[in-house]
Amino acid sequence: MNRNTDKPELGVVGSSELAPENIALAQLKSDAIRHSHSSAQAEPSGWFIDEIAMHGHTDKGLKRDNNEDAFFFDASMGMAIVADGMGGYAGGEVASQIAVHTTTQALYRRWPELYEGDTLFDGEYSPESEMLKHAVTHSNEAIFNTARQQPQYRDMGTTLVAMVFYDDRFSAAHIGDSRIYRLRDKQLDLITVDHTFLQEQVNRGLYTAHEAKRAINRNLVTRALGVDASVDIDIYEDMAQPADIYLLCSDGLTDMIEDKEISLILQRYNDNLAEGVNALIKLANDNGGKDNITLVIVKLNKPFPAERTGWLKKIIDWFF
Amino acid sequence: MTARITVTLNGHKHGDYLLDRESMTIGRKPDNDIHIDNLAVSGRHAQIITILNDSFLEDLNSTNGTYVNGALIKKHALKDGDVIGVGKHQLKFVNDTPEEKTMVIRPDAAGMPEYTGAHEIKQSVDRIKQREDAASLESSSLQGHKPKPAQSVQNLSAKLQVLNGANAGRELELTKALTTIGKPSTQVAAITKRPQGYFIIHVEGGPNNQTPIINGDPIGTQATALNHNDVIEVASVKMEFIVL
Repeated sequence: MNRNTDKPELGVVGSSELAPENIALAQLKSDAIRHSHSSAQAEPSGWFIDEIAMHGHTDKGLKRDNNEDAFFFDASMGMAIVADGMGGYAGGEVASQIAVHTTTQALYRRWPELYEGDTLFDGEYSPESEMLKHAVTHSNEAIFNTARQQPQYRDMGTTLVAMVFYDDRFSAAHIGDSRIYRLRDKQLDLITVDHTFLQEQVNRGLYTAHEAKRAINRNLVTRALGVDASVDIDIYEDMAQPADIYLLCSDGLTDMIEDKEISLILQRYNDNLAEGVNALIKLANDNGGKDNITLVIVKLNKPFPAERTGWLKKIIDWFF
Repeated sequence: MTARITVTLNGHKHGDYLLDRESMTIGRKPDNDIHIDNLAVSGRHAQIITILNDSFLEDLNSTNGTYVNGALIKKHALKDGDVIGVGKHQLKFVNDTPEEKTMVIRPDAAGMPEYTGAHEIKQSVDRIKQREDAASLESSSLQGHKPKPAQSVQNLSAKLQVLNGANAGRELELTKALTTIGKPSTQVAAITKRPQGYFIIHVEGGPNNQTPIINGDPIGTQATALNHNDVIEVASVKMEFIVL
């Protein structure tokens, strides 16, 4: 894909009211790119041509009247987000939209800043992880404040899984019962651990993981964005490798489909992400489609090391 | 719609019970909620704990055991249509509650969820917590160890200690979310700190495509959870993984 001529792959689910904001997003993105091009430095990593492929979609499912999920992805920026809203009268839709929008916006704004000058850091997390965490924290505040100010949005909240890819790595943020999986060497690894009452029960041995899959009460999440002034965000950082496939999804997918089936479909449609997305949604609906189904599939085609600040330079080799 | 139990014997219906209380006992003694007067049934045979829409069946060390759909169980999460066997009686579990929308509950300081909205859920959760605290106290007094606190791995920290070679004894505290170790073009591994603990992942294996070895076994390419005192071998250097 040539970034100068092709339209970037942007995936936004939006209600019509939020459409203008989607346009604003595209504008922000082009500003961000211009910004990076105008700087005299080496082009930052994170501007991918064909290293990373993504595809995503959302489906209302068969039982719900509305779609409270939202998602966004931009392969050229290496970012993908899925959110599953809940609560209030129509609040769920609003919460997930705000989450996706504000997080994306913050990432577009701050991404280029990361690469201006040398980034020295001493913290537990990479600057990219910190940026992601900051973006999600910001979106928590945005949802919380909206809910507080507008009675019709009271008690709304949303789950969120977000990933950014850079320098042969990824950072991920997770809150709630949406999930991130990785398929590597034909094995599916559930990276996130659900923030659900059910998972707490599993941890305490009241349920086995197998029983949990069939339990009715899967619908209580213990953490969500926007329900409190502050939020505890799980941050993940890991090495990414060519041929890895990542799946970000709402529980409308995983409640309907076994992990084994997810693994098989991701492998089968390894070369056609759009078909893979459709196949997963179709299977979830064939199995009952009880909730909104949203997913983004990310496939890494090539290594994407950062030139100046690559992880190789940070490797711990002093005792080797 | 509340879940319910229908008791039958040889195809004859003996009674319907709504599972409208959190704990309902099944047994031969008259004070059981679901009373089955039959010698094949123990005095206190089993109980059903119902939390919101979920019901759990638990055998109370009955003489003849508790069965679900023909299989002997100790604990079982009931699902709609399950048939519980107690002695010669059959108890059909019916729960046609539709799947509810997602709600938020918040964990309190002890790591147990606390619902932000509906009061009844909070009460229920509190009761479960009390029950579990009591149970863990009981088991700890029996087995002589402390009750296991709710795990919070977020604050977990760990280090690596080199076991062999010139650098034996040196330590590296794993303070970062992602630490890469090894020698580029020989062998590299990454240790990533997930909220549920530390994992080691193969990154590059040099000409022989060597993957990290944990306690003598190569891990392959999958992320592998690290446990306290695991011995990791990367690029011929052995290190002990120590949880702090």
